Formats: sequence, C-alpha cells, structure tokens
Amino acid sequence: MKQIIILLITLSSATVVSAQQGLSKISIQHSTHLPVGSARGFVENISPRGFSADYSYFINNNFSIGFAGGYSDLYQKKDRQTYTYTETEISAVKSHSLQSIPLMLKANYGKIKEGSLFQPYAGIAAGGSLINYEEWFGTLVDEKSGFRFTVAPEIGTRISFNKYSLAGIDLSLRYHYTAFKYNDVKNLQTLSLNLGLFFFNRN
Amino acid sequence: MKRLRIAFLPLLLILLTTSCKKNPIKHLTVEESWVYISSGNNGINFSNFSSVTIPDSVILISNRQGSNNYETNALAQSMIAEVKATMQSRGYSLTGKDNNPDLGISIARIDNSYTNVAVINGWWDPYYGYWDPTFWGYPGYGWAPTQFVFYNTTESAWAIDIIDLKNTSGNSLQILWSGTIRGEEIFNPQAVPLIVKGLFDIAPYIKRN
Repeated sequence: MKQIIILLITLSSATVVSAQQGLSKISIQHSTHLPVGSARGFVENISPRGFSADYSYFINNNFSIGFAGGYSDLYQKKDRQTYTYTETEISAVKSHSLQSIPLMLKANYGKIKEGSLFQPYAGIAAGGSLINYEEWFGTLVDEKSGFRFTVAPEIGTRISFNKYSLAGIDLSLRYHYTAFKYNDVKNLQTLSLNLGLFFFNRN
Repeated sequence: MKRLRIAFLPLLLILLTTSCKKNPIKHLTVEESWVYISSGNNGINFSNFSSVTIPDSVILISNRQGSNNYETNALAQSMIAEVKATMQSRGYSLTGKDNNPDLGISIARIDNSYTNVAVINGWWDPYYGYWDPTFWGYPGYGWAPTQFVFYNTTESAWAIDIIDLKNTSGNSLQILWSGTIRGEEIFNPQAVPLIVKGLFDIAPYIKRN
C-alpha cells in the first residue's frame, strides 16, 4: 500500500514538472444534467445541481491528456401513489435521489490556434464513478452505493475572452454512461450541458 | 493571470454550495412522510363476515417502555374510535367479544428504539496508516485502530390486524389482513383520523356489501 502511494506521488509530481514545461489547461464548469434511458424512469427532472472540473496537459498542439472529475445530483419527489406488490399495496410519497462523483482519465483532441476566439474540441474520459442511489418510501429508504465503470465522451468549444487571452469560457456537451444497475435502473446515462471557465498555464 | 486564477475561487465556491444534494427527508411534509402498507388482498371475500369486535385497548410493542403493555390513553381511544367508525361505515356491526363476532381487530402501537454500532476500519478510516504495518511484521498490509460509531434509530408504526373468528380451524387463528402505518407524527392524536383513512383507502375490498 505504502509503495503504491509513494509511486502515485512520484508520478503526479512528475506530471506537474513536465506540465510546467509545456501547456496545461484547467477548466471548471457548472453542469446541467438530463437523465436518459432507464435513469430517466427513475428521475425525470433535469438537474442544475452539478459541476465538473478537469486538468489537461497538452502533449502537442492537438492532443491533451488529463484528469476529470465532477458531481451531479438527481432528485425527484413523486406525488402520493399506491404501488402494488402481489398481495401488498403500499401508498407513499416516493423520493428518488441519485448522486454521482466521476473520477476519470481523459484525452482530448482540439487544435490550439493562436489568435482565434473559438477553439472547438472533442474528447473522451473513462474511469469510475462513486454512485449513491436512494429510493425513499416516505421516510423508509432502499439504498445502494458503489464505485462503477464510467465512460464520458464530449464535444465542446473554448471561447477566449479575446484573441490573445489564455482564459475564457468553456462550453461543452457531455454524455455519461455508468455501469450501475439496481432495481429499475439498468444503467446510468445522463447528458450534461457544461458552462464554465478555463485558463491555460504556460511557463 | 494571477487575478484570473483568483477569480476561479468564488466560482468554485458557488458551484460547491449550489450543487449540494437535495435531502429527500427535508423535502417531505409530515403528511407526505406517511406510508401505508396493506397486505391481504388475496381473494378473501370480506362480505362473508358481518360483525366485528375491537378490544378497548391498544397493544404497546416497545423496547423502552417494557413489553406486553396495553394502552387505554387518549391516543389509544382515538385510534380505536376511528377504526370502529371506519368498520361501521364499511357495513360491519360492532359487538362484544362474547357475542360470537366474525372478525376481531387488533391494534398495536410499535415504538422501538435501537442503538446500533457501526465499525469503521479500512482505507476510509481517518486513522488509517497510524502504525506502519511493518511494526507488526507484515509489510505491505494496511492496519488502523478500529473505531466504533454509535447511532440511534427509532421505529414507530401502527399495526392493525383483522383476525378471522368465524372460520377457526384447529387451534390457530388466521389473520386475514394486516395494515401498517409509518411516518412522522403518527402518534399525534390529531393525525389519527387522517392516517386511518389513508390506510383503509388502499384496502377498499374490506366491506360488508
């Protein structure tokens, strides 16, 4: 365990050292999530409670690799309804709640063009997500949590504040797939619209 | 550049505060917290029965006030009166238990409190790695002092059972129907009429005609 930690520290400091020699980018975005597929059956509502953050290091003018993380919270309260399970009826106000914290490695493609305001990019991230699932009958809860595989492709564009600025607005559309299965949720799919800021670091 | 980076901090703060989890329990009113469970819709024809008896006390099932208690206080009285009124409105006649009633209704108040213990020991433990595992002669093993966390939970419910006193086979009594009410403030006498109605509304098949 300790050896692994030391290895990780060495690796991460190595990334920082080499990043300082080139170009790196940090981006923080607010995310609005739309559940898709069976996740939509669990929570219909669009959720504004989410954000994402990433760090990318440019290995050349087109490709960057890095880390991505974030958070999303889906929630829906359903009106009182009677649910039938064979000989039993349950009348309850159900609350559905789902949180996701992705921790991923990402690779992006997008040309860095000096002096242009719009810099579109496409990328893919993969890793795991911490998932917390809660299905409440009134105050009684059916809960499940775990760390599951996640993949998230995205397209977006950076919009610089001006032609020579190293910072600007970062707008992207991302699809998340997480292999989480419980009750009626067969997999967790969301589409997110992300709007935030980015800045480049060049030393 | 530095100024820009500083500008990120409030942005991050705003994101963290606005993107918190919506707590499901905090978004429920007292009435929305009530859960009614009705069990026994298995083809029994409740019109085969005509009279019902309800004892004048409620069974208290509680691990903090002793067991096998019977309650006759105002809460118990309002509960009994409400169940009696409901059965009458469904067409049954009330009678004493010595007059060969067809059905008997048992009402129980469940009020349990539990103290639970959870053990924290693993990589999520804040004290993980205090001792270097080589100290015990097992390099590479993870080890931390075990921590215990105590927490208290309460279980509150009303349990209403309808017992068949007409068709008694051998020496056992058959429960035809069980209803449970759970949620907040269910031991408040003002809530009683509402929760009894809520429970019997999902069992419309309990009726004389």
